[in-house]
Amino acid sequence: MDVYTPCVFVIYIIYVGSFTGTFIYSITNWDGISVSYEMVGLKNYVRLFTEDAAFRNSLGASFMFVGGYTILVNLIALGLALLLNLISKKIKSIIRSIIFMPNVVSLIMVSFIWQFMFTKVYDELTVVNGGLLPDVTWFSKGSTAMVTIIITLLWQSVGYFMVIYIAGIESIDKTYYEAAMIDGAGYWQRTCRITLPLILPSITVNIFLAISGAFKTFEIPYLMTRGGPGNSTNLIAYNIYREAYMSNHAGYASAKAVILCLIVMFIAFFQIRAMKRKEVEV
Amino acid sequence: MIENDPSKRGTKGIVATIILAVVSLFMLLPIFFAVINSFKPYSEMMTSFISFPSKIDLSNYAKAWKVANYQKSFWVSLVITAFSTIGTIIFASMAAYKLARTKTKLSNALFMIFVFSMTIPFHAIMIPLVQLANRMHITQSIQGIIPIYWGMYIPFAIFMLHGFVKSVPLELEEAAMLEGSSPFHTFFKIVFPLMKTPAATLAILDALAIWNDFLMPMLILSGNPNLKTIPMTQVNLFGQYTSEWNVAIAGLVLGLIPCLIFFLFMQKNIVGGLIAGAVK
Repeated sequence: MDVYTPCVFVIYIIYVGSFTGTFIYSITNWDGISVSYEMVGLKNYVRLFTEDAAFRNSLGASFMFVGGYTILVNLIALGLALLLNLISKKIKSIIRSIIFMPNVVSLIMVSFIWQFMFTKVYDELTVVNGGLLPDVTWFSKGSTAMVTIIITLLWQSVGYFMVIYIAGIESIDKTYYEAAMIDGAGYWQRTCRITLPLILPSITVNIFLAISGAFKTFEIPYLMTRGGPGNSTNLIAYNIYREAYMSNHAGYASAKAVILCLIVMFIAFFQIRAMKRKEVEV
Repeated sequence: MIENDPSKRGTKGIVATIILAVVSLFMLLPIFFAVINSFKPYSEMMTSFISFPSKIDLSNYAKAWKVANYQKSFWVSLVITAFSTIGTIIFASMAAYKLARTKTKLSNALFMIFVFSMTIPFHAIMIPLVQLANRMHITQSIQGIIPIYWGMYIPFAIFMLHGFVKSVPLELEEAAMLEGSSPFHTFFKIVFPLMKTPAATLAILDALAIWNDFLMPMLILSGNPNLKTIPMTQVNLFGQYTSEWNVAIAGLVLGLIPCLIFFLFMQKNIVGGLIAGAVK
């Protein structure tokens, strides 16, 4: 009996037990309810990649969502951090708080607010504004529905990525800028030659955070689009939930969960490698 | 920062301020529309979603409060969040301390297991976890969901606190051990008080995440009408009032209030903690 015993016990049950369970269920035809099930070998995996077009669509939608979101959230957050650096300290802290604030709101509430915005408020704004805003029925087409879920997650999380960039920028030694100013470097030169290279670690962290966060997005498709129209917003985390608890294919859903797990771990592996290399350089 | 020097700002500063003001407005817009519509009666809302309410009418709030039984779900959420967070911090700090101080192969391997579990997404263990909870008969109960949250949040907490313990000097503990203090006594009387700052930051982040979580309570608690967390109540409320957005939106604003108050008071800790967690 040592001080870490309770912790090891809890982790063993929750993580190690469940993690092994996912692998075991993924080679069965278990429906999630009955007591008995059969081993089916790798049949679930074969079906995933050869027969199941819906899963391929879902995987495609996930990659599109993750890619679009990762690029946008990083560009916008970095832009905002650089802009905030140009203004006085007082306004800076107020604006930073406003942009960060949605991050403490649950994705449930964020999804509802934006569903309301896209369906009710936006429709009326297009009428009032006449021409300024394009007349779009957001949830009727796959491509626009994808845009809505990306905007929703962006609104909630951009402040988080922004504060990481701000921390990166603030940690840069001021003497670099002074030296560059003496040499006559302009604002753009200083930004591209000093700021961006020196916040590379923050950029790496943010890219990986965005990717793994986006792969785990569940609430937004669950509440806003139900994966539709078609399978256009059927993100993989939501797809697993639906397969397991709505279609009652727990075994098959476990195979999907293994795939998600492999993707996220693969990304984590690259993240650790990227971070390690940086440590050596510094 | 040299760009912050007032004499150097000029036009760039003005342009930046304007852009940032527009962005801030965009960030506030959804909350603004939610608040104005929460005061309107149904008929007024249907004529316009974007006009100001003609008068401040709190009946939507009263209705949402009663239908969703907010008072009860507030307590359910609070109890789950509090015990899950406290347990996570206590167990994780104990384990992090011991793992950082013991330099054996076993201790190293255990630490690697904790770090490894951080990379596993929740959806990948969700199905067996729920099955396990069913078999142990701990679903539909507060006592059941709390240990599960411990398990979910301990790995990250250990990872953060492990790094901190390594920076704490050994002398105090050695002195205590010489006086014959037991490991538990040494930990709680000497080491834990030193860990207060990082532990508090972690507690705030975990509390926020657990308070806002929806999937776990839905999987573990659903089926028991007496145990609904705030996110669960909101989903129910929106299901019930699909067309009466004014009532649903009022319920939403009620849920926003505790989050925003928490944010106002804990802003520094939240932002600081998130940065520390991300950069590590």
